[in-house]
Amino acid sequence: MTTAFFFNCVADTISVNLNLGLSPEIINGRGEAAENQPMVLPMIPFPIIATGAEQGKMSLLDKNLIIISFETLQTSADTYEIQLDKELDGKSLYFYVFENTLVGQDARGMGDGISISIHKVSQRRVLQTGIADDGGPA
Amino acid sequence: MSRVFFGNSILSSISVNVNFALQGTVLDARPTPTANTQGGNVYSVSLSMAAFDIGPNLDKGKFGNSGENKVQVIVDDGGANLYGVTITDASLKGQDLFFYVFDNTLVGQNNFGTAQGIKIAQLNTSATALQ
Repeated sequence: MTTAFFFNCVADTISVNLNLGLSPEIINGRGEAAENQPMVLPMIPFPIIATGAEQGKMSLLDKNLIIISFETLQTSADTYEIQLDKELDGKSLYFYVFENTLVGQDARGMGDGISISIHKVSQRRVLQTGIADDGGPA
Repeated sequence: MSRVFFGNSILSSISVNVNFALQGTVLDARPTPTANTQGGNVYSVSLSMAAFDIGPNLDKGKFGNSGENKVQVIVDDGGANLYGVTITDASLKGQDLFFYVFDNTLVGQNNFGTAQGIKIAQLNTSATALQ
């Protein structure tokens, strides 16, 4: 069983939701930098599976949807798609979470075979106008 | 303190997240309707509801009377939707609000059942390559 590790690289508590789980995982903020001390990056592991996308598991077959929420750093959430090449089968992967960016690597530090896209709101469809039927002011 | 309630009208568990809190509130699936004590053909259904405080300004896990509140609904094994909800009528301040979550739609009302002053938009996203 291989693993996708998500490291929190910001000094803020975050949640990581992999493939639309109802209860995302919480990761504490990274440690403070200090002279002659290593910086500690908290992480959460998710299993990598060779089948289709599942909640809380990273798929080698399908696109994976990742939602990162920040406790205080930003008011919105970052949403990413991750697509993995089948050649990564048998390898554990390492993802580094920043504000507005996500970096993926294999154990050697290479990003080959890991495609990451970020989602932005591109369209809105009004479902309910909030305006009265008589056209009066809402 | 007024509150906003989200009732799960879907036959699956869902989570409701207001303004990108770290975690949403998980609601049980809508149960099968059952006959009430009046008997006959009158049935009732009890919807699980999530409640959030309403304040003057939106915040994580808190609904705001000003600005566009982002409501993210995740359906267990059934996808997700992001909605933008704006209160456009100042007279709704101080009132409890009620939202009914369906598959790919959301309906909002005040305590009397009127939707006036509650604007809802469904927000769609597209992906841009980073790596």
